[in-house]
Amino acid sequence: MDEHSTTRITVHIDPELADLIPGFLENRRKDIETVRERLAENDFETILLLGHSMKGNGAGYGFDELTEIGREMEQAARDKQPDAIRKTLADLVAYLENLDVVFD
Amino acid sequence: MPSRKNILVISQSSMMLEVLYTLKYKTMQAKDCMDGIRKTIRFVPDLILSDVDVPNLNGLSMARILGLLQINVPIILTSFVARFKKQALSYNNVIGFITTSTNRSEADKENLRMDFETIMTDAIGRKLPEPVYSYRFRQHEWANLLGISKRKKILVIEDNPSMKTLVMRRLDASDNYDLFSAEDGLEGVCKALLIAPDLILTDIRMPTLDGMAMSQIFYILNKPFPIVFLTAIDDASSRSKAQKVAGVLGYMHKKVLKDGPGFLKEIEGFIEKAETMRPAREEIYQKGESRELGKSSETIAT
Amino acid sequence: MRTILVIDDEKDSRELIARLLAPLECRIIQAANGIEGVRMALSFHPDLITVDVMMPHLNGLNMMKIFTLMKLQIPSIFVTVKTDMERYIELFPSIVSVCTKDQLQTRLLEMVKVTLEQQHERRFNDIKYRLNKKEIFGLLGKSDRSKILIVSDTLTREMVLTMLSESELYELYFAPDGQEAIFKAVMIRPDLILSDLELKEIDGIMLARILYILGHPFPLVFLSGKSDMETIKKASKLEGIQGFLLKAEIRRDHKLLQQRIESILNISDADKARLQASYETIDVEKIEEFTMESSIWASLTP
Repeated sequence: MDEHSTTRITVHIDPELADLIPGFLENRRKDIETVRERLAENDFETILLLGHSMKGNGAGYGFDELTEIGREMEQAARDKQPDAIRKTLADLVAYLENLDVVFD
Repeated sequence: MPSRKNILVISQSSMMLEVLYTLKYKTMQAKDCMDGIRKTIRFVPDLILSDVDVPNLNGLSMARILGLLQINVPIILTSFVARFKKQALSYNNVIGFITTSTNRSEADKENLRMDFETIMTDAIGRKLPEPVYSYRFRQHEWANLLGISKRKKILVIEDNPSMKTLVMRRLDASDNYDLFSAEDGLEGVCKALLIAPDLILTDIRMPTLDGMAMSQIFYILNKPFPIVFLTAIDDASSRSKAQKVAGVLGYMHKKVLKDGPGFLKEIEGFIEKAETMRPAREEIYQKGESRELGKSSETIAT
Repeated sequence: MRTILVIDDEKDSRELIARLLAPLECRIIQAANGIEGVRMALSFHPDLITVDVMMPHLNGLNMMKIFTLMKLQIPSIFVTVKTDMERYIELFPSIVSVCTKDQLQTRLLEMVKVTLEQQHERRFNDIKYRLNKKEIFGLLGKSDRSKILIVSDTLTREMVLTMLSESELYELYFAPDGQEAIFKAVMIRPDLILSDLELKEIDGIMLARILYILGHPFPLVFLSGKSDMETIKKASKLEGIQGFLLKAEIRRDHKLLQQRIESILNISDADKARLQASYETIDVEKIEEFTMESSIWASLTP
């Protein structure tokens, strides 16, 4: 994701999980804050773990882009690259803002 | 020196045993550190005296494991390599470290004896804290414990709340399981020992104790709980490393959770597989060959 | 999907309630007596229970006492002919409302709906529990030894050891009262329980009855005085109660306790199976009229 356009992204999620999604997305927003805080402290260890969790959560719930962002964040943290981490944060913000969840 | 102390010795060298003999201690031996942990639990010695350089599971890892499990037997570690001293003494349960010589002269033996007695004198009156296992049970877990149930018990170990919610939600859709959960490897060990689950479903990366180290600990303790890793780890080499750890039944990528019924089928499959493999696994665990710990024994060492 | 457990000894009443609640599209399960109600609550983790207060042998009120004793919080609606049950809402936080039988048609559906809607606001407490060193080592080890749970606020480990001629054959666990005994028993799964009759709050007979209600067939032997014969005889419909030992006698004769323990531990597999089966099938009459005194009760509320 290079362009942070306003193109909506539609994600199809299992209706069985519908009630979990609002809380899930809220936690991802909180993750953004946490990564920002940890980045200010150069705490790459925590950011790596968060990226790894995001990768897993994306895969488990069905948010494929989230998996990608998580993977990039994990790698960027492993490489200790603050700019790369910031890019993933921007991607994540854009993703959450443009997300449309469809339950089917 | 109180001579009725019972000391568990793990060492290739007979010099330590000779020293202890002259000091009139009762001794017991273990062939390696894994055997040492099992004997410690079984016989509760007053002291463990172990080399660091033991194959498959080294003395430092052993000290760490005993500390994590709160087995409060004091440990003295020995090694030719003096720089292990700092790490050794960083563990609460290690009361001393002796740098040994490769020579076997009478002078070396005498040094060994003196080092040992110094540590023992310094440690008089020092007691390691009594172990306490604290449990936190959710209401439904508590209900599962209180009731009688023919259902299979699954213990889910996952530190990420969103992931744990998802896994529990998927498993709950089937009425066939009593579910329990833990948030890190250590809590997982304590709960598993209590609950005796039919299946442990665990993440690999976790705080305190990761999934692989946890599996190794179950093997060391001779608790053949079937373990399945549920992970987001992508690379094949890590995956195959994970599978080689003793007792691990298999592996699932977290993406299987997208399909609820499909996930349940795989779980069912693992439980059946576990049942079929049970006698063989129990035998392997009972034998307790430390080389079965798998190449990843380095995961236990800090 | 949400689950509602309907407990009433009259089939017509259960069917009526199930019909009234059908619009909610929850899974509705039914229990025909208090014991079945407790067991189904533990097994199915209902989101809500409707409890008929007036049931023979184990009425709704005493069911709630058992839930509270066991630290279980299950939102409950009392269904009753009596009109003065409101005060119980204060005693039992889990009772969210009371519905009289003549109000069922008009008010029950709404009450249940509101309770289910408020569920995510409810705070369900986790249960914290601790195990000490001996218990931990029991869990860690691969034990072939039989486990004995001793329930007494007067007997100490030292005293019990003197009453056994070969104490190393057993792992001894202790609980000072009936409530603790139940928790310890479900966690440790003893092969035998030795219990005083008189205990704080929950006495020995009540302990035996609650274990039956929960469905756990642990063999139980009472340690008693001569005057307790009648009491014990009355409770002996419960097959788990394997008799009694007079305290004065076991203090005098150190073989007596051990002999009795051994005879119980060595019962045939057929007898074991019979005992287990007798606890699986529910016979409400076995618990006589189960009541917990209100003076005892008041001190148990969290």
